[in-house]
Amino acid sequence: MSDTEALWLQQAQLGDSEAFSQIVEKYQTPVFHLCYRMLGDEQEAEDAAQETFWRAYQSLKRYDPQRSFATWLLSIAAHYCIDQRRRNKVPLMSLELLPEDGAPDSSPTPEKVVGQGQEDAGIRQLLNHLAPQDKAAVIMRYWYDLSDEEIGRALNLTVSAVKSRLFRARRLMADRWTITHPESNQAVRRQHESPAF
Amino acid sequence: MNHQPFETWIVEGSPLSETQDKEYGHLSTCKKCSTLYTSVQEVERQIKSLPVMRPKAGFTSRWKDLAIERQARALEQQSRRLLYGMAAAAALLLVLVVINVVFNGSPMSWFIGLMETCVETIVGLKVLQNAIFAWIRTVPLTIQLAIWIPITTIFGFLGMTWVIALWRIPTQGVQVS
Repeated sequence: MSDTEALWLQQAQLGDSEAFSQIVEKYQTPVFHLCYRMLGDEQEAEDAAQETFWRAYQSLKRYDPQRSFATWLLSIAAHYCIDQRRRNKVPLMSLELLPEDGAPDSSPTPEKVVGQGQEDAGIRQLLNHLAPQDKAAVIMRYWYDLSDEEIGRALNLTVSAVKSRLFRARRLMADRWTITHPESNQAVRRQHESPAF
Repeated sequence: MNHQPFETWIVEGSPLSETQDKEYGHLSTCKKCSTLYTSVQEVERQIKSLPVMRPKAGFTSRWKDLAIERQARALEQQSRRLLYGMAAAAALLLVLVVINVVFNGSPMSWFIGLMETCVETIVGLKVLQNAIFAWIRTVPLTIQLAIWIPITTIFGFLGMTWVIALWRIPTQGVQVS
């Protein structure tokens, strides 16, 4: 965290909402991204991200400066999204029913957009099969590069629980991938074939 | 063949050990493990290739609006709770008075007692007023003015503060730091 951010945080802790707005501006993307990957819907992600910042603002006095602020924020977002997922129990949809609304690339070609959308829908489908906490652990690992310890602190889990959840999640996603993409699996295997095989 | 060590190695994605050749050797011969390996690699590749999602423009200003709205709502709820609490306390007091009347004497005796207390209070205040006026009449006019002006100013100010405070409770709530 930079000195400016530390100053904003200090001022926000004293009740300066304008200083906290600077923090919102700075961290909106990581928080929104986590919420989007957890909930899979742009509007729900927006609401969850707004709620995350409100909760953070409300409990700012309880923030321990020894901890990473980003991880603390992501922890609030993850807990909120886990609760939302449990409450709503999002129904699992078939791959064909999922909208292909992946984020547009900076230089999109129709093929690229469709391909990206399919990949996004495919990954969302895989993530939807995970338990909420497993999903949060996967998102924190792959998109935020958090260590097992950091994920554990964020989700109130032990390091061994994080390891086992990540293992279970990877295994489940790989198994589902094998079932849903048998042709891709064979093609990739042929592509990766080397003298060692 | 026991696939367990290979599956664990593949799924955990841990760094390759000295037995890398042996493990790759197993992958080349075992369809189950090589399929798992490919799937894990492909899932990870796809996850990492997905773009970072950004909120729509104006997220911070929407947050500011939300914060203002929620703060106002919190204050409103707080003032409502305070008013309900005061009303509940008044109702409880009334109930206690009624219970006291019912169990300790007749309503008429309680009413007479209340009237006696009121009369005693009024007489006491009148006596106090007469004593103060008698004392003021004994001092010269200039000193009388010097006493009255600050007294009326202070009481006027306190009265206004009290009225404003009462008005602020239901409209703006009580600010708790």
